[in-house]
Amino acid sequence: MNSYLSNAELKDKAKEKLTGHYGFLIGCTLLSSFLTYIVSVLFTNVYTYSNMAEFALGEAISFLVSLFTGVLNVGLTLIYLKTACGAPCSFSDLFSGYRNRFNISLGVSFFRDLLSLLPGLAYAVPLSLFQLTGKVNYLYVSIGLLLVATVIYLPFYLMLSQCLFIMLDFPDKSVKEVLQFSAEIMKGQKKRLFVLILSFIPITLLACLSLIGVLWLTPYVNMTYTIFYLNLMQNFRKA
Amino acid sequence: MDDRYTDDDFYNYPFPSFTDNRNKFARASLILGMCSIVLVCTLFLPIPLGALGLLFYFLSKRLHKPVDSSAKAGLVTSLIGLCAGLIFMGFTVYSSVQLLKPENRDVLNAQFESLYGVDFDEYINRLYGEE
Repeated sequence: MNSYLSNAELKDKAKEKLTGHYGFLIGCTLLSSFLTYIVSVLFTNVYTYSNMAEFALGEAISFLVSLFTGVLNVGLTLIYLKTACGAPCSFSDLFSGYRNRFNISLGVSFFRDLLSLLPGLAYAVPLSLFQLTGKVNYLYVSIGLLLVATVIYLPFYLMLSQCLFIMLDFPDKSVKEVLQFSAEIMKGQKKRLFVLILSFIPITLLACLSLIGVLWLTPYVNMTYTIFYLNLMQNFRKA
Repeated sequence: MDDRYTDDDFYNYPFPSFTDNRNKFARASLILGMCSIVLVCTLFLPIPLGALGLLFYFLSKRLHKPVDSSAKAGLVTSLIGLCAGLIFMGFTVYSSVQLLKPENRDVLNAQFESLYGVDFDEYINRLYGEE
């Protein structure tokens, strides 16, 4: 019999697992964000462009940068998984994606970034045309395309949302197998995850209003997603 | 005699705990809530403090467990601080916009003069010169 936890139960479990670990997880999140920011500033300093070729070059560079910095997410996911399972973890785990199975980490990061490029480009191309030509119509097209692309992107995002957990949990799986398995375990669970994501909107607004509340919110949200995955696998193995 | 005092059960005696086991988030919520009320006069500070107090209240709340009394107090004080901050901020923005309207210029000049000894128009002239 399936025993999927409700959103409230997932969040409660996350709070339980986070007790005594907030400081370390906030530190890891800050370090990861700081490194990503530094690398992004160093390599994607192409904010002004005069034609579409320069815009395309800037987008390509930022894609490559996000590809390599995205591997840090593997380390962060490992830290959350270890914390949720009560295993000891350290700051060096943050770089585990670069040390162990770098190809798989890069492959998964590539597909995730490629997917998120769709709404990004749908929004950025008309916006850059608006900046270059000054025609307001491009701005409306940009907003419309962003909405359409998000609607298309969302089911695929939910389908591949468990990739990082799976690649850490099943080290012998290839990139293709990781993507397929993520899609398989998310069958019939996409709505559940979507509702869980939506349920964080009010508390996120509160955290934004408090300016520094995001520091505590990020570990809470990420731990809830980790518990969601663990609960998902528990039921998948039973079935 | 209570069974707890017999020799056999001595080690099960519920000694009072001297460590403070209350939820840290609940205490933080209470402190932030109180600070947000006290600092309402600063206009800007009660909003982030109240919001952070509310956030900590939600993080301290656990399922199937009674809410800590300090968390409840934190919720109330944070809400009061946040609402007061938002009301004061809204009122300040609204009154500033109203005062800057041309038909209210006399009121602005009178208020400015009572505060700084010089009316608003003259102050602007001194700063930027007459145009």
